[in-house]
Amino acid sequence: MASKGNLTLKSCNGKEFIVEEKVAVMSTTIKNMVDVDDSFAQGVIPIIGVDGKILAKLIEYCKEHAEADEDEEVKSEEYLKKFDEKFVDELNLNDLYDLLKASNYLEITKLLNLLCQKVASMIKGKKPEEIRRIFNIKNDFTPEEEEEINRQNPWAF
Amino acid sequence: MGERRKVSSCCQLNKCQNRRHPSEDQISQVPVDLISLLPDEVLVFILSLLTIKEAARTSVLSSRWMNLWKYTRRLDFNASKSLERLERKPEMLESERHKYVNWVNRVLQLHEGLTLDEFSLYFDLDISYQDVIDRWLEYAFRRKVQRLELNLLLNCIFLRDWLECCDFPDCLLDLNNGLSKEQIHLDSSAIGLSKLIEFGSLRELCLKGVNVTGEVIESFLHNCPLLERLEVVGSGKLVNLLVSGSSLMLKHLEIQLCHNAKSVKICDCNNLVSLGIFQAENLVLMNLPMLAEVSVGGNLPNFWSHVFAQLSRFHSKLELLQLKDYVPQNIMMLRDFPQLSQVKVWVIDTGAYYDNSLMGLTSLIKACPFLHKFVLKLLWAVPVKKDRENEKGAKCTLEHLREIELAGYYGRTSDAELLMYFIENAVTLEKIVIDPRSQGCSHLPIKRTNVQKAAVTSALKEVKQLVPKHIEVVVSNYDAIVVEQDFQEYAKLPNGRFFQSCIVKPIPQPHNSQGITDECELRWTFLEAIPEDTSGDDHAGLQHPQPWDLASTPKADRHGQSGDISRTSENVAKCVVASFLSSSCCMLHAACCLLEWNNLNQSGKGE
Repeated sequence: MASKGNLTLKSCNGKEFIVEEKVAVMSTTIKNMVDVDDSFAQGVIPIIGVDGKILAKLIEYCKEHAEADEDEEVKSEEYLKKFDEKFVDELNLNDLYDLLKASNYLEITKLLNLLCQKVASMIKGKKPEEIRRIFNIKNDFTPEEEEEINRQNPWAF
Repeated sequence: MGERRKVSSCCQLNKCQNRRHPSEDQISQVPVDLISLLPDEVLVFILSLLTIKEAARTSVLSSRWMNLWKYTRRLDFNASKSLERLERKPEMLESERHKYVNWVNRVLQLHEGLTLDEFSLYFDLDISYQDVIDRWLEYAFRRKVQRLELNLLLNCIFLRDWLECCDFPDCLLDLNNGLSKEQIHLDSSAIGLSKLIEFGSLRELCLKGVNVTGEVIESFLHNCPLLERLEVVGSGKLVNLLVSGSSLMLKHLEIQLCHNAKSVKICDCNNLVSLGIFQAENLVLMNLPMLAEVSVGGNLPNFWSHVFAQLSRFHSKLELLQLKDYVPQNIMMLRDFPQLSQVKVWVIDTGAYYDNSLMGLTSLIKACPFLHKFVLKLLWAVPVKKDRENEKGAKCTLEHLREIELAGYYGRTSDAELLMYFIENAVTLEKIVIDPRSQGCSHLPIKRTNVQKAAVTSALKEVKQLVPKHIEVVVSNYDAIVVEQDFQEYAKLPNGRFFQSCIVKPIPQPHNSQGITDECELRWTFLEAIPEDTSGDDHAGLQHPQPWDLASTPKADRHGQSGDISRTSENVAKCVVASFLSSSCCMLHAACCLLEWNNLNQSGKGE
């Protein structure tokens, strides 16, 4: 059981994390749960569909940002920017997808934005064929269909 | 990004609820298309971070992606390639405009998103496209746009004669304010509009080359509680503007090149942090408790003493100050300069003429005892270097100055003496940044003759010798100087045309008691672009000059100083520089070319 001001989050594979409330409520979803139902603040909050590894990552991110929001002196904007850069650079594709899904579900807007920026930067300036290769996207169009789509939006290509 | 919203149900929402666990994939060793399994809203979020063209290009990836881009929340209609083509072939204007309008219409037809984070238009469109613009704006506002930008300047760069600019459709706002019942009954379409259009979501509004009245701006401020950034450039219909209200969220405000502006009053804006104003005859600033960054430019008589009287009220917060006046005397002549005790960064944009001393600026620096960084941006055309004694500036200890940036440094006596002044007086100086380009058009390569480039090179060597070893010297953009032999003959304009002549015609002013005219009419004539490989002897393109009005009649106001003709023409050149001064570099470049012409003409006469 978490002490006052702390919350316990439980991943889908049973791992428990005790985190400060200010860190946990970076997630709007958790914030709403705690605001609406007091019992969540006392007990364990199950984080559905997020495993321990991903939850640990989420907490790492939220911790840095929650602390920065509280004390700008110690963790400056520049520090956060570097932290964010390192954070996304170290992710492999699978973790990136899982974090995207988790931050979307938990409504951690800042992180979702950061991760989407990362994916967008991987798409920017690339040819469709390259994008497919990077993300293992399977082209299910026939050549005729593909041509038809190109024809519909000639300005984009 | 704003808050997330659900994508319309016709998108295959949450197609992938039963996601596969990554470890299964790793075991099977077959690369799986996990990205396509992400929820629609996440993919649309990602696509909304791309430009509209990049987003639309993903339609071809697979059937999963085919329609996703149509829900993008960012519609940025940026046709830079088309604008580049226009720079080379201005006669294509109508056909390129036609293409642009068709493109925007086509995308809006396909677009299915219900809300927009951004809607921006960048194209050379004039008043003949008013109807189209009205429809597009209505589209954007119906979708609760958060960031709206319209750049309809000439080539998206130059000021257009305001009589040829589109108007901001103020009917949109009037409807929002509520029509009388009678009017609604008369016009059934108005009912739909008034019900659907909401301005409440707007956070950023930027209007360039669009006529918008002070009343409309005020109405926006009144109707958009979230509006944080407002930028208006080149509106001819802005006459009086009052920005006031303690509840406004407005943080950034820019009012530039609205030549008919009579009075701009900004007061009681509790959240206003940065303010940029160029040229307002009567500027009143009052009770702006958060104001920390101010950029002001102008060339009207007594403008600066008036501005500083206003600024002295905010001295306790003001951290960044930028002054723009291409006649350095106007700034240097200032007396009773207020103490600006919090100013940490000071930027001055001005002109360097005939190697005249700029040491007068140093007396102003004393007013900012806590200055950390000083930036001087010099605009000049043909650099003139005179042999004269170094002048000494006002002696004072600049205890906090860590960094200086001298942009437009050519190695003139006026440059060197200023540099020496800082080395002698700024005891804690750590860094000096030198940019040898004239600051008219810093994004373009600057063409110089061999002699001039050599002068810059030796000047930079000199700097390194002059500056004590513990101070870091950074030379930026040296590579941007391109040697061009023909430079003295033809100043090349950014649009690839060559500048042939400029007619500066005084406008008669019968009531001017001094008998000297202050306003002049400008006519620019350009030649067709000369192909790059054309040799100096064979200027085939020169035979058919085609007149082209830059801006049909930019007017310049400045006091003439004497009846002396050569003086007058110098003033004219300065007037032009000042009247073109703006955030737009290219306009300055054009002005720079005019100066060039003027200087050449004068040296031709004098010697």
